Amino acid sequence: MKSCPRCSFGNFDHVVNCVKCGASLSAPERVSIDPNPPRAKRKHPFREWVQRFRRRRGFRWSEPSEQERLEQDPGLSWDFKLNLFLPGFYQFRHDRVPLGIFCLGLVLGGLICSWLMVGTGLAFFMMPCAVAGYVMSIYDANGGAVLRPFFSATSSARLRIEWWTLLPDLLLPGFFQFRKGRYVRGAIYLGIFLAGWVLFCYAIGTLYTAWALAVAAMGPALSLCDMFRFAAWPFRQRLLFTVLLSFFSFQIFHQSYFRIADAALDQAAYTTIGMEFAGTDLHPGEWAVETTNPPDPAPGDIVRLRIQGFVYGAGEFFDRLLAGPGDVVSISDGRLQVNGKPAEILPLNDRYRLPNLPELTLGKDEFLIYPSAAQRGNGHLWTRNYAVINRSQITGRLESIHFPFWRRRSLVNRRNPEYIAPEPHSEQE
Amino acid sequence: MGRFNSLELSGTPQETAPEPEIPAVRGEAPKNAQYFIDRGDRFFFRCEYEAALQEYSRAVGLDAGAAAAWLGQIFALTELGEFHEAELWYGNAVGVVGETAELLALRALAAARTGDFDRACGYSDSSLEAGGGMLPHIVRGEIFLYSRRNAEYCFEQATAMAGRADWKCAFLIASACLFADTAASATTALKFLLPALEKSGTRGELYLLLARIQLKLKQRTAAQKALEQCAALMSDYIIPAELKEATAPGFWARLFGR
Repeated sequence: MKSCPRCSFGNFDHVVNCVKCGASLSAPERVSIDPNPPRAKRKHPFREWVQRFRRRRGFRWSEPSEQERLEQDPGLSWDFKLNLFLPGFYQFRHDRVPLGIFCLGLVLGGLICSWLMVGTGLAFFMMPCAVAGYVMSIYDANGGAVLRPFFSATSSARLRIEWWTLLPDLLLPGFFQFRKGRYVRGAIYLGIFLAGWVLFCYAIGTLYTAWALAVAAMGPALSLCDMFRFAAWPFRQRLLFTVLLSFFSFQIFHQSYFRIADAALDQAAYTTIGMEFAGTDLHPGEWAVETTNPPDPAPGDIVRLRIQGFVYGAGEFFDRLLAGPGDVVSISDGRLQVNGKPAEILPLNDRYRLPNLPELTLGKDEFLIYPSAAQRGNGHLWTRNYAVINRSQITGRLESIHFPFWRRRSLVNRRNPEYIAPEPHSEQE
Repeated sequence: MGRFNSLELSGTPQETAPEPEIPAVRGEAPKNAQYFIDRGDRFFFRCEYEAALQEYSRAVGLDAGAAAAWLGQIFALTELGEFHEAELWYGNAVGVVGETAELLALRALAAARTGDFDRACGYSDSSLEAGGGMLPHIVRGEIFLYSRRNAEYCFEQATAMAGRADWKCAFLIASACLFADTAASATTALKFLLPALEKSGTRGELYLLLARIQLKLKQRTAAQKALEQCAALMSDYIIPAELKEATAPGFWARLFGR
């Protein structure tokens, strides 16, 4: 009896093939293999392009595990231990002088300033600086051999940052790049910086100055990120440091430029119109010439007013004088009547709804004014006590706008441009 | 050919493996699987991958257990840019000859060339753990080239395993570097190819690869000389037209007769 190797059926001895499945009983069956491999039906140019792109971009080798890190750790050296007492010492010994100076400066500066400022609120902010410098020094000393460089630009010697040029490197966009022969990116950073300032000069007197300065601040921020690339760090740390560096450096440069520009404009002794005047006859950012203590204020003038007493949200404001001494004024349904006629002069903000006011006659040196642009919210209506002011409360008057040039104009006694004078025949009626 | 295996010719099923063809002339090599593998290798190192694939397929048809033929097939598919097909064929090869370090390395190579580096690293690790060898180290080196790591170390290891005289190892290293397609990798390729050329100077295949590398480095005159050497050493080899065209002198050289 022969058993079939495929189906285990028992066949008679003289049978050559299995009567059940037909398999040969004399020899094991050969495995049927197609020796020809499958072939691609067509070319895939896009797929090839993507693959080439991926190969070109490459990849970052997976980071060593924590266990491997610990195995590589050589242990704490004597200079590390000394660094615990003298932050920056390890960095000085290991060719990271700028970082050493930085850490030592932070620690000493923080301690000294907090000592000098004891009793003021600033001392509270100085101590964290000292702690940050100390922690940074220890942190770098602990992993410096494995994770270097922290503060030096890259692992390449060509792109090392020399500490004696650190200041211009940090402050002048493109300086580092030009020194290191990276002319194209240096020119790009410098170009962004200059373009931002040119835009700023063009945008003075508009709402867009901050945006222009943001463009200008991108130049040095990008330059910094190019200097400090944390090349030897694992990817995630590198990403984190770069994000933090770009964010904070951008903020610092932006704020600094803003303050520098503000100080420069203040030097010009103009009064800059604030943001709250958007939508009025004035435009935010305009430079106005202001006369202090004007001798003859009149209705229609835009004056600076100092409020007597406490008023939430307004201690001092600009607005237009609506009526002067001897005028009979009243407000009903938001409409101002002066001497029995609709007022020719309206507040700066024409959307401001005037609160009702019973008819009254303004006395000598009395004026009527409402803070139409400066008042916030409708919770506190401007009462009669505040609306009728004394001449002594007027501390200044805007005379004219000088900048921007294309909006130069006089501001004295400007009537409401939307006022339509009543026709003569209606008066006759 | 597999579909003809189970035909019942003359009433009797084919019971044993087909015998190799009997040499027609006395002294001619028997045309068994090894014969076709050698032919495949010959085409492979001449960068004629289609022809090499055919020869390897014949070898597999004759002897399904020939691991070298399977390897050659997958390698040729990878060199032809058919990475997906190579991956599919790897499955078949593993089913027949089992999972070897070389097969794993080729799988890693196909994955790396598609840009799937996670898988490539995994397969490469497995291939090194499965015993390593010349090919796994070369593949590891190519993966290192893509991650800008020290690929030369891996290539050195591969060279040490293959023996300094093995020109095939140098060829594979150089072709891996050439595929990475950067000037730096081309320089690395030269670093490994030139010593092999000194030792195996009669190998036209090495000169052919040298010409390609020098073209990559924009050294046209040197590439032309290498091609001339190649033509002198491999008289039966027809140099591809695109290579000839690439090494032909340019407009100014022709104008001034230089």
